[in-house]
Amino acid sequence: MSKKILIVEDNDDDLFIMKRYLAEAGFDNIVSASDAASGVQKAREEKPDIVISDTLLPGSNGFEVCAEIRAALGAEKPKIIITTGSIDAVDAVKAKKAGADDYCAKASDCAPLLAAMKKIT
Amino acid sequence: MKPDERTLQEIEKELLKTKEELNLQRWGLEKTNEAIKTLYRELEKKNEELRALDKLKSDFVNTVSHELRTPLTTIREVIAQMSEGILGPTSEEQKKFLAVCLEDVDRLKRIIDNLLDLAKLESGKAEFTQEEVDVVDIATHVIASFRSAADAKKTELQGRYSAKKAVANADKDKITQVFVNLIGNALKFTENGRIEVMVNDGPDSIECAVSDTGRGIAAEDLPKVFGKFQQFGTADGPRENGTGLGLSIVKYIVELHQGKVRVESKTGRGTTFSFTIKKIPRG
Repeated sequence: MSKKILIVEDNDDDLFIMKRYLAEAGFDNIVSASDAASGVQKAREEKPDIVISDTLLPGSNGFEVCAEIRAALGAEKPKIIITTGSIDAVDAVKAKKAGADDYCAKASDCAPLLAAMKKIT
Repeated sequence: MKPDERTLQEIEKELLKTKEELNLQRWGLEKTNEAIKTLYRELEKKNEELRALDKLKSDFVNTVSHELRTPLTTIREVIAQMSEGILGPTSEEQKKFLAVCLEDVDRLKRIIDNLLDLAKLESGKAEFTQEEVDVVDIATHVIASFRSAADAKKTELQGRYSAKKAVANADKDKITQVFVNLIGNALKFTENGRIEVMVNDGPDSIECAVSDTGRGIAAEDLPKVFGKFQQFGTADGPRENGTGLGLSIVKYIVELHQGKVRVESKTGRGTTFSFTIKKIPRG
């Protein structure tokens, strides 16, 4: 069975694109949340193998989502990738310090995300 | 020896921590670099898409305008012939309706012409010839062409010039169009009033203005006057026979000459459109 993925993303278009490219790459077990609080809650309930979180989220941000999931579920699982679509919000060190395994920018062909997925799976 | 060993251990620990922190910073820099490169590439892609879209829009406007013009010319010709009785006897009643048809066909033609002008200006395809032109001469000619229309609206139309000549390197036809659009516009909204056309020659630029004592533009509408398809002040009066494109064209032409266009207005008191033509060195 393919790995379960949780995407925390508030932009519907970005979510649609990510789902499409991930499914094409063989990741078809995907759940999603559209804000920080429900993202953390879904992570507790669904126990995903991988979390992909956007940086700028309603109510909070991807770094906090990452730290909260780490605090709740431990340091090993899930693997967490933080993504960003805004140059102003680029901060890889902050992502690592929050417990993320990898960090990349959003692209319309999802190439950086797919590369990061390959590395951690 | 022991205290020294502890110190060494501590130093080693410290160094290890520093190394880890450095590794983290290096990883962070690499990732940040990658992310910024990706985001720039995305921006470039979006820009390209926008440019392509803009071109598509211009091409579309160009093609459609040309396709619309041809049948319109035929329609106009036939209506004119019917109206003149060339195609058979026409009653007075029929003539009245045919005159309305002609007016609307002419209005359509103006809209299409303006759309074509604007599409050309927007796409940067407009031919821009630079020659020595006398702006006072242009203003005088345009004023003369509007004389009878101004008389019909019992409106005084006069030019006021700081010198006999005001010469700049500019596109004569386009500057003429600016005056035509602004004076035509002023006349549309002015009755029993006064329209003044000013040309002031300066060292670096020529300042021009068209002032009217017409009904003015409401303050909230002022920021929108240069937008496309904007028509104002029609709620309280009859619908004017405009296309809503004239002032957009004015703005484009003035900016093409590295000038600026401004509007000041007070409801019920009148409006002043002023613009500058930079004295661009020839070349």
